[in-house]
Amino acid sequence: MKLNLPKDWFIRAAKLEGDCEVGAGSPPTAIQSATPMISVFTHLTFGRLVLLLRRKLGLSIEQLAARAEAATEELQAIEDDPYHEPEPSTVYGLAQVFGLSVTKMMQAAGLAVAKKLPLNKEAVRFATDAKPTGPLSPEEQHALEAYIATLLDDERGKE
Amino acid sequence: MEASVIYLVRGADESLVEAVLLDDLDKPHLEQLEATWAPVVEQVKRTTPRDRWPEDWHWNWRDKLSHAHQTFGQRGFCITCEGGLQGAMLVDLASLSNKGTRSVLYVDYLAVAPWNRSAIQTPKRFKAVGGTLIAAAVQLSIDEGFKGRIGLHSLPGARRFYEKNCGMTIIGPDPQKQNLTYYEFTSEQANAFLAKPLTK
Repeated sequence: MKLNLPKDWFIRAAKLEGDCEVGAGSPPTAIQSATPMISVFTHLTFGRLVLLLRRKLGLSIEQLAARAEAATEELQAIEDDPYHEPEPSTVYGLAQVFGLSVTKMMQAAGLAVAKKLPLNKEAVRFATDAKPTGPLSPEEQHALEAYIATLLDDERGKE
Repeated sequence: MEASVIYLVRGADESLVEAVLLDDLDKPHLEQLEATWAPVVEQVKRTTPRDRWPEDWHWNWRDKLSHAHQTFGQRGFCITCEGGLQGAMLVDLASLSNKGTRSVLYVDYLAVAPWNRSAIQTPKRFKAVGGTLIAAAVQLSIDEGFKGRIGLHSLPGARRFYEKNCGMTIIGPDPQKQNLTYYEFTSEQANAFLAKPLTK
């Protein structure tokens, strides 16, 4: 396909465009409004879990991505964006790196249904803001351990 | 792959700059897009409130391109200027108009580089990127026998552009597309746009 337009056309197009935004496709806001809040909360909590476990191991996002054989952008989205749905392959890789049950990690990520979702006060407390880098504070260490204990509770009960 | 010489207008001094429109969007363009657009978008996400993030921040062009390569009738376009990718578009030639009776070329995705958006950079690095991509869609529609008819779902922030700059017909909110407003160019409107961009 060949486009042949005179220079004047582009000058006029630019002048009329001004500060207008130009884009076509689908917006995130509409997708987000269709996302159940329970899912958003699950992703938020899972992102916090990954962030704290990563910091506990003293890893950067890039180092964790390499160990989990995942994309850095995907891990960044998991940690930062509660509307992002984690990829199962990434969750599998993270479970291997963190030494946690794949099934439980899948449930924590909202990719599998848990008999008892850890949507209790531990999860609510856990899903608060955290620094992206640095060693864990005593409070963060406690929150992490309490949340993992809640996460694994159901599994231990079966043993 | 065919290249057309086009022109963009530099936002800083309103000078005319030669650029290239390619009727192709492939791996090298994708890599350039990911390497240059994504860091700017990430920077915006880190430093601005969520309601000011670009409306297409979540788009995964790798997935879109992969899907396009496996889908009959999908074609890609991009604009390069001064070594950078300035805009990209995917269109679908196997679409019907909103009435289901006439074929239209459907613009699946259209985006300009972050630095060509006034919400991110003022002045924009280059102007006329989006309009030129729309002109390319119209030209392909003519070449493929659709007489210039195109259809698209506008991102909410871009409605003014399609209504006032392009003069497209507002078909209305589409409940099947998250209530995005759907627009179409009739053959007459499309040819008028190619002859001269207008404003209402």
